[in-house]
Amino acid sequence: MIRDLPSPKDFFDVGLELFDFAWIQSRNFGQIYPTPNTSELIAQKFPTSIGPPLSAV
Amino acid sequence: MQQGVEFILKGKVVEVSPYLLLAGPPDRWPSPYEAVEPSFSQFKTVDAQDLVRLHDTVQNNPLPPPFVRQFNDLRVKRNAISHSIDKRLEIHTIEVILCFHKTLFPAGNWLKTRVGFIDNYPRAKLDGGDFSTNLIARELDVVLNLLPPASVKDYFGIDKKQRRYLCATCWWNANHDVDFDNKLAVLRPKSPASTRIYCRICDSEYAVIREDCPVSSCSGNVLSADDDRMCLTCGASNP
Repeated sequence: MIRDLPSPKDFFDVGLELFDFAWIQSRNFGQIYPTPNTSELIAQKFPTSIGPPLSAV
Repeated sequence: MQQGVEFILKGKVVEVSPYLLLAGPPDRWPSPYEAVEPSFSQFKTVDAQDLVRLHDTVQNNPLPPPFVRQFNDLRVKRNAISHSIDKRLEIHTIEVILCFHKTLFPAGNWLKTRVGFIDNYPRAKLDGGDFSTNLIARELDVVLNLLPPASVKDYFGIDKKQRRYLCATCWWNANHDVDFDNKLAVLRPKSPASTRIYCRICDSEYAVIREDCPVSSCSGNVLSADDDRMCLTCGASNP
C-alpha cells in the first residue's frame, strides 16, 4: 500500500501558490513591486555595510 | 506558472483517484515489500504533456480548446526558457493566470485567492486589513488598465469603458495615508439612473443615492447610501 496519498487540495494549494508567485513577478506590476537594483539587494543582504558606522549609532 | 497549472491539473485527476497519477509499469515502481511502505512522493507521476489527455479521460468536463492551446503554448515557452535563449519570448502572465484560474476554478475568484495570499504577508500582519485592501486595489487598477475590454468583461464581469467610482466599503477598509483613490466600482446596471453599485474587490453590490455632490468642483452624482453620504467620485463626506 502506498502511504501519504495526496488530496486534491494538496495539489491545488501548491498550484495556486505558484500562480501567486508568478503574478507578483509580472512586469506590469513594476510600479507596485519594483525590482530592486543591485545596491538595494546588497543593502537588504548586508544592511550594516551601507548604514552609518556602528560608532555613530 | 506552468508548474502551477500542472499541479492544479494533477489535483483535478486526484479528485478521481491519486493512483491515476502513477507513471510507468509496476515493475519500475518502488517496492512494496520493504519494511516501510513506499510514499506517494517516491513515485514518478505522469508527464506534463499527458496531463490534459489524462484529465479529459477521467473528468466529466473536458478542458476547453483555448485553455489547451494556452497550456501547450506555455509548456513550449517554459522549455525555451529552461533550455535556450529566445529574445522574442513574451508571456502575458496576468492574462494567462486569469485564464487558467477561471477555467480550473469556475466558481472561484482569483482576487479573493490573491487577497488570501496578501493577508499572509508579514506587512499584512503588522498593518491589519487595510494593507490587503490597498494592495489588491492597486493591482486591480493595473490589471483593468492593462487588459482589453473583452478580457475585463470575461474575467471580472465589468465593462472596461464604464465610468468607475470609489467603493464605500473598500474606502473604509483602506489606509488613506498612502493616497488610496482607486476607483474600481461600477454602476449596475449601466445606466444614468442606476441606484446600485458593484465592486469587484469586495465582490459586493449595494445601493447608492443619486444626488449631486455638494462640492462645487465635483461633478459626481453618486453618493453612498449610509449616514456619511460619501461622494463616490471625489471621496468627500456629506452627512
